[in-house]
Amino acid sequence: MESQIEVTNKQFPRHKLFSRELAMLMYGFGDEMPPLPESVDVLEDILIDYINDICIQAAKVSSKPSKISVDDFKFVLRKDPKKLARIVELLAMNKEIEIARTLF
Amino acid sequence: MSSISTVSLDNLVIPMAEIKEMWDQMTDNQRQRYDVYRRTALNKGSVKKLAYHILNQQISSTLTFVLAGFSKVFVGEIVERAVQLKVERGEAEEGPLKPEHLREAYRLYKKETQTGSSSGFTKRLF
Repeated sequence: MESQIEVTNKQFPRHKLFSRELAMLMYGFGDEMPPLPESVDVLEDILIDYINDICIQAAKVSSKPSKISVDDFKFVLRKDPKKLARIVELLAMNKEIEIARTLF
Repeated sequence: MSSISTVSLDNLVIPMAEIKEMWDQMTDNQRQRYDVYRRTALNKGSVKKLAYHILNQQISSTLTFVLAGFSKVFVGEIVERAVQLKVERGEAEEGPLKPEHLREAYRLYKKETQTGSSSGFTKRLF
């Protein structure tokens, strides 16, 4: 069943934000090269839907909704060990980079 | 495992020895794919812009970096699931992923990570 994707919130820029990177990521994660253009578009819609969902949840749990923090996202993802581990890894990497910068 | 082959960041250990071992055993095709997987990231400007429209605020560079980072993990979960579904349907040799594979993968993802619609807001995507 081919149903059109309806995203109720049409305020934000929808298409062609991530087309290039998503096409490459699809290959990286197991798809064939080149991917179907319509598949890239669907994946972009899915991704935007996901980011929208996570951001809204983060805003909901935040003690300061006007200034969302990394901790808010960490809480939202508390039951997702893979993504949570990724966040911890990224923050650690970021810290290392900053330390390296100050030593210059 | 010697301490030289791993990098410790607080309690985090990045298994460089295992990665090297894996790399050595890969075919050239696999290496190419792995390389693309490692190097490709979501465009930070786009992520920042998207977050701005959703949250009505400018998020910090660190947060942009983090958001792009775990979103990439999400993309991986969906694509891998979609590829798995395609193979399970016996369509492994029939060309690249189709929208229906991705949609089904996302549908299953949402079903499995559901913690109950605490917001009371249920949007039917497919």
